[in-house]
Amino acid sequence: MSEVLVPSNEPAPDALVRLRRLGGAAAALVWNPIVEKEILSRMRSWRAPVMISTFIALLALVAFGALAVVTAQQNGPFASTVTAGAGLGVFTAMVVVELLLILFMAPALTAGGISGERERQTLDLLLCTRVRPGAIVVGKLVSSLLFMVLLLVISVPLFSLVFLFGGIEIDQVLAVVVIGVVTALVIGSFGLMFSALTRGTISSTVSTYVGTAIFLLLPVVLPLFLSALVPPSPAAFSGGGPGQSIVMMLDPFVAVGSTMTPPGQGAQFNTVQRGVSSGSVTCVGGPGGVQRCTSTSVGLGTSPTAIPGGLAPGLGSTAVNPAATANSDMPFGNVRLNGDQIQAGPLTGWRAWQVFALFDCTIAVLALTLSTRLVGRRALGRRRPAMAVAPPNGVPPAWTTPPPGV
Amino acid sequence: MIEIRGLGMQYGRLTALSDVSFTVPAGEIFGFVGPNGAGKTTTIRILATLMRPTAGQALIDGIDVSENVFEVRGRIGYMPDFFGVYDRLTAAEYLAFYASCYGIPHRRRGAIVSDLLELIGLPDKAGAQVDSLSRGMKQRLCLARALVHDPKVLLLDEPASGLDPRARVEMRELLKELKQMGKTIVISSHILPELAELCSSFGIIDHGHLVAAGKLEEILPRGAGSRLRLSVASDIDVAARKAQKVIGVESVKPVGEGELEVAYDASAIEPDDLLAKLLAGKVKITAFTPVAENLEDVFMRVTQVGPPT
Repeated sequence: MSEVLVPSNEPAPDALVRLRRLGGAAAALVWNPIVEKEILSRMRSWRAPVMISTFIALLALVAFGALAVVTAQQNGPFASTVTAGAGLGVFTAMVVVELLLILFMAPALTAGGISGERERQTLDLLLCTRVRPGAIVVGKLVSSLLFMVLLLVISVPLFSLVFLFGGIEIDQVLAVVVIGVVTALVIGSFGLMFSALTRGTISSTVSTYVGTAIFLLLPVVLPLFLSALVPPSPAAFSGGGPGQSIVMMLDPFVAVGSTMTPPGQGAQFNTVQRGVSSGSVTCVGGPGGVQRCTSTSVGLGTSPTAIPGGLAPGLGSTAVNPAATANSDMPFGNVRLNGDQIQAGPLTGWRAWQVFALFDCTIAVLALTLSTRLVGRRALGRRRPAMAVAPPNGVPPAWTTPPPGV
Repeated sequence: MIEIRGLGMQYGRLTALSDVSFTVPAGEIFGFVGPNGAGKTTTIRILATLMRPTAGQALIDGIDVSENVFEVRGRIGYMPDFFGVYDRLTAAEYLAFYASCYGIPHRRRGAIVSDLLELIGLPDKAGAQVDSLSRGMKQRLCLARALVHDPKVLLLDEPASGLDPRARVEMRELLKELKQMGKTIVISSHILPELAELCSSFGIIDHGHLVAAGKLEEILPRGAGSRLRLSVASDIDVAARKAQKVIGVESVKPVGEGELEVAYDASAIEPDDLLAKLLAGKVKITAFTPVAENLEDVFMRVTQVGPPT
C-alpha cells in the first residue's frame, strides 16, 4: 500500500468560532467607532443643515398645501364640519412626500459610504485596525439611518397638525413610521452595496438612484403588466378585498397605500363580508358632532380604473370597480386584502406594513451581507492593487518591461 | 520579529513577488529599497494583512499574517504611501477615532492622543482641522495614527515621499526616536542616503526578487564605491597627487573649489587611515565627509539600471 500525502483540508469553523463571529456582529452594533465619526463629520458639513431645512420646508409646503385643499373641499373655508377623511388625506399626502424625500436622501447619504473611503484612501487604514468589515458597513448604515430618523423626528410637529382633524389611528401612524424607517434601511443598504461594488462615488450614486427607481417600479409594474396579459379567471376570486400581488408589498408606496385603506374598504364592495374591525377610519366623528362617512379618503390622482385590477389598494381604492377586483388574479402570489390585512394564504392576518418590513429587511440584510463581503475581500483580496498596475508617477511597473542592460 | 519565507505574489500572469525571504530581528530598522513597482508596496501590504500572498509565509511576532489577521493587526502599525485623512475632523479627533478603531477605551484615548501629538511635534495643532495641516504635518499625523495602539512593528511605505528637506529631517528624527522606543520598523524608500543612516539592515528588491539582504557591509561588495570628499586648504594638485599614492585609493578627482573626491577600496584601507596618511603628507584638510551614495551605487548596480554615463 503506497502512502499518499493528502493535503489537510482547512478545518471548518466550529461552533465556538461561529459564536464568536455572531458576538462580533452584535458588538459591531453596540460598539462602533464609525458611527461616532460619521455623525461628527456629517453634522459639520454644510450639507446637513441644507438637507434638514429642505426636508422640513418641502414637507411643510405639502402639509399646508394639502390642508388648504382639503379645507376648501369641505363646505367652504369656514366650514364647521370637517370630515375624518380630511385628516387622512393630509396625512397620506405628507407621508407620501416624506417617503419620496427619504428615497431621494437615502442614496445621497449612503452611496459614498465605502467608495468615499476608497477615494480618500482611508479604507485600507480602517481595514488594518481591529474594526471588522461588517462593522464598517453597519457603522455607515447606522449613521445614515440616524440622520434620517432625525429628519423623521423633526417632522413630528408638522404631522401633529393632522391630528387636529382626527381620523387617524395610532397603529396607522406607527405603521407609517416603520415603513419610513424600513425604506431608509433598504435604500441605504442599496447605497452601500453599490458603493462597495463601484469604483467611485459618482457612479455609485447614479447606480443607487437607478436601482431605487427599479426597486420602486418593478414590483408594481411587472405584476400589473403580466396580469394584463393573462386573461382574468373569475374562479380565483375567493373573497376579501381587492387582489394584489404579494410582490407589490415590496414597494413602500403600496405599503403606505394599504395602511391608509380603511379596513371596511374591501367589504363595501364584496358580498363576502369580512369582519370590519372597530375604529373604521371612514366613520369617525368630525368636529361639530356631524358624522360623515366618506370614502374619498386618499385621492392622490391615481386613477384605479385605468389600471387593470389591483393597484387599487395602493393609493385611493375608492373607485375600485368590484368586477375588476373580483377578476384580478395577480402573478407572483396573489393576495387579497381587507384594509391592510391579508385575507388568505400563508401570511393570513399579516398587515401590509408587516409584510413590507419583512420583505425589505430581508433584502437589506442581503445587500449588507454582500457589501461586507466586498469590503472584506478588499482587505485580504487577491485583486490587483491599483498601485502595482500604475504607480502614481505613471512609470510602468518595472516587472512589465525587460530591464535595460548595463 | 518579522520573518518572511519564500513569499510570492501573482496577479494573473504578472509576478509581483517571487521567493522573497528575509528576517528582521526585534528592535531593528529594516530598509526596503527598490525601484517603483519592484514589489515593495506589495510586500508591505502583505505584512499589513491587506493582501494574501499566493505563495510562502510571512510571520510577525510568530503569527502568520494571512491566518490570524486580527492578532497581527493589533501588533502592527501601517503607514501607506498616501495620506488617508478625513476632512472635517481635527487632528485630535482623527487620532482618537483610530484609537477607538483599535478598541482602546474612551478614558485612555485623551492621554494617548496628547502624547502622540507631543511626539510628532504638533501639540498645538490638536484642534486644527486635518485638512488645514501642511503635507509634512499630515505625514507625521499619519505616522502618529499608526502608533495609536502602541504596536511592536511599524510598516512604513515611503514615509518621506513628497516631503521638503526640513520635513524629511523631522521625519527621520522621529523614526530614530521610535527606534529608541524599541519598535521594529520596516521602511521602504528610494531616498537612499537617509535609509543608509537610519537602518540597521537592508533588502534590495527588483522585479519581485530580493536581490540582496543584510547589513550594509554585507550588501556592499567590499571596496567598491567608497568615497570621501575632502576640503583641502593647501595646494589642490599636490594634495591630489599625494592622495593618489596612498595604497587603496582608486581614483581622485577634483570636484569643486578646493575639494577632492577620493574613491578608495574600503577593504584595503579604512577612511581614518586614509586621512591620517594624507595629513602626514602635509596635506591640510579642513573638512571631510563620506559620500553617502554608497547604497545608491549598490542599488543602481544590483537593479541593473545603471547611472547615466
